[in-house]
Amino acid sequence: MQIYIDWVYRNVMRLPKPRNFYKKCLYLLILTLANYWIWQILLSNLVISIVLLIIEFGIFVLITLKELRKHWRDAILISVLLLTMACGFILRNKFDKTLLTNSPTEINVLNERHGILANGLGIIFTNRYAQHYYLDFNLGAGKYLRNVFYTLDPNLYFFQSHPREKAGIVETNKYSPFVLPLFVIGILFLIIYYRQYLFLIAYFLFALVLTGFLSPAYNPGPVLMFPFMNIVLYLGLTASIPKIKLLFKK
Amino acid sequence: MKSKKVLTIVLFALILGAASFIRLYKLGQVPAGVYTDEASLGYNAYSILLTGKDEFGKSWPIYFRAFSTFQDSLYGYFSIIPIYFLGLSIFSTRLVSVISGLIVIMVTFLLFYYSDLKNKLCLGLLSSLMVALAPWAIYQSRVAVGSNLGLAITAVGILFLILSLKKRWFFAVACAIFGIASYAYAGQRITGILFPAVFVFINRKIFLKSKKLVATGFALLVIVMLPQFTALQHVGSLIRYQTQGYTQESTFLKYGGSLDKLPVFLGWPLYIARQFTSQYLSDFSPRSLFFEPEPQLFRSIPDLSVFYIWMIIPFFIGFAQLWEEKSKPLIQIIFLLLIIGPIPEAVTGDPFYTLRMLPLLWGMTLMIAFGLKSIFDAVKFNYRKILLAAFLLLISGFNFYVCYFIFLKYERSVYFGYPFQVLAQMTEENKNQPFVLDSETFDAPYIWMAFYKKYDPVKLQAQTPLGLLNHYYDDLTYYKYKVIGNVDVRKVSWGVDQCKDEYIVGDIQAISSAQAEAHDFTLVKEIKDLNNNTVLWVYHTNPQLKCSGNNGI
Repeated sequence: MQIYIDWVYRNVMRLPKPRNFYKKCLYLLILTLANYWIWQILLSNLVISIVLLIIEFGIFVLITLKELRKHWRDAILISVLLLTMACGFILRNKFDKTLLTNSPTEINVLNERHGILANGLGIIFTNRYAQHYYLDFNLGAGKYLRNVFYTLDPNLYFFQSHPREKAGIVETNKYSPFVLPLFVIGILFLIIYYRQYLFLIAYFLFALVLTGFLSPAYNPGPVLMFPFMNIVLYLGLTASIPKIKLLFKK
Repeated sequence: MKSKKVLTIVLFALILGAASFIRLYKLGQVPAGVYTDEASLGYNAYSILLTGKDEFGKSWPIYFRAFSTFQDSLYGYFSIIPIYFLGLSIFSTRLVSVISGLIVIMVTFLLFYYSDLKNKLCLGLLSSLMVALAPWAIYQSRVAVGSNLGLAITAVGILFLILSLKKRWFFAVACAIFGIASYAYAGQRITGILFPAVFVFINRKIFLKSKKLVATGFALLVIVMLPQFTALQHVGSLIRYQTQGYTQESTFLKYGGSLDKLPVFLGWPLYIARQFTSQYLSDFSPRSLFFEPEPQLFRSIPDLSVFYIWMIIPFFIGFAQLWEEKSKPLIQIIFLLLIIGPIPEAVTGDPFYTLRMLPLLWGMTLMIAFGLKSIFDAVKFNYRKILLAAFLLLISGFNFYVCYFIFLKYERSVYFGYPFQVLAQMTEENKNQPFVLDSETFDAPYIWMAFYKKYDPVKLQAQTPLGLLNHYYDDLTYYKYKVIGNVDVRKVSWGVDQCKDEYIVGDIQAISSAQAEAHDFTLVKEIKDLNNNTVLWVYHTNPQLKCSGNNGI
């Protein structure tokens, strides 16, 4: 395997092999396989899991090999293609249909609020455009945002959304809470050094926008976040290893 | 230089003026009514003002026993002043909270003013503006809650903590202030000890030179908190911890989930660690901070969380900005707020309970201000900056107005006891008629009646069970049956009440329409909340019809 990767480096990419590349690959591999989530995604859909693994490895290579960053346009193109594929597979069956249809309870609330908003806001609310938005888009937009913010909840990944469980949804285990420190370090690292990881952030935002269309009841959860989560854990791990080594040296 | 100072003062005055307006506008009407805790604080302040004793007849208690919830009393004591001048009302009860909110804004500006940051005046103005406009800050300033007062006192303590780096004796003042804050809200008992302790540890090189002053500071903190420590021997002082915590073995055995399969010595600590970590983490969840309001309906604004959605962008950028200047004392304080702030909330079982995490929300607001400053710096032309600022102010203002002054006012009026305000008015208009108010489905209807009717505290104190004052902090019984003038707050006794000429009031669970029909009650009035849903039904009994002949008791 190493021989092939070296060959690709020398002849296809024409780049020198990065330092500790295999060790870093091993870290990522452990983080990718040592969680519950990958196995649930694998059980749910093999094609999606392969696509997600390819994306994850692609992002990993991009952030590991600084020389490759000049190829960011190609990387974005490939990612968009892969993501579109993954989304096509998922959304075909798991699109959140509630974005387009409203339940009787929601319609009831909408009607109740219509009266009080009309009284409270007057023409600002009763004009044609506001009415069009309120009656046709308001609920859908709210539910889309709800899906997006569910995805942004770190408790979803480590505690099955505990302590704010979603009503009527059975969450699956994704990551062990024991890797939470790596996630926290990774996220802080990403926020502080965001300029070095713009591609990862771009992927995150793109995946987030798409995940908003995915049903929150979809059992494996917001799977498009899987590559991002693993890379963040990887960043957390690689950022903490030198500190841990230093601690032991002392 | 002088003109810059004048401009800063003018802008700060404008921010303070706007903040005062937002906090005082329709203060007595929105939220419509008072929540039971607010009513209790207001009524106990009223009672102490008139008699020097609380509703049970206890002189100047450390905690108000209220509904056996043992509320922190400082807010009540502070409320005596506005109640003295304005009388007992929703407005006067909430006024201390409004002033507390304004103090937080002023302290925010002063923290930056005395800092060594670049652009400190600009950052100070932006931060105070963010605190003035943040939904959490406005909401907490418009309800009577001890935690907002606690935050204001803590903020002043933090200001002195920062100043103590220049004048060391301020550390003792800061410690005393943290001690006082612990009387305002339970959470401040934890943060009040942690803030000075961690601050001294971080700046140990400076403080080691003044060991005596540090020791004096901590001694002062202990002295001020001493009554609280002595109260620990009573069951009542620990009731909140016992009912809302999760560290008890019984809680683990009940809610341990998969962990209860492990031996208790292993599963129990793991359960506590899991609970703490998940609670702590959820306080930083963008879902809770920017989108989903707190689950407690009487503590949150419908469809609006503690921050506006757009603030998520400056929130993350702000963290990166703070990190760049992490060695500065003010930034250290913000990090302390972010790290220590969630602890009181994380040690209890209620998810995202904002009351217990106000220092965290304050710290986050300052972080957002840093992020916003960075965004404005990146915008090239001044007119664009003005346009962006105007746009953000407009959408925030509109969002807040709709969610707070419309949705909250109408949809949450039931939680704030608005129907009981209407009932109190009705009972005052019919002073000669006896009323029975069912006490079983609402938390504490008697306090709503006492508050709205401004009931004579001496008469309420006279209803205190014999011997209770000797076990004020130890007796955990909730005495909910009271007579408030012509309103008897108790369980409806069907056999007796149907044969008396009186009005019976209750919700649908207390008196169903079938029961009313079976007992020949006449429906007199349906009391609705502002959302037009009937909450209370007022029936008139017909003893002549029901209790004549064999039907009588």
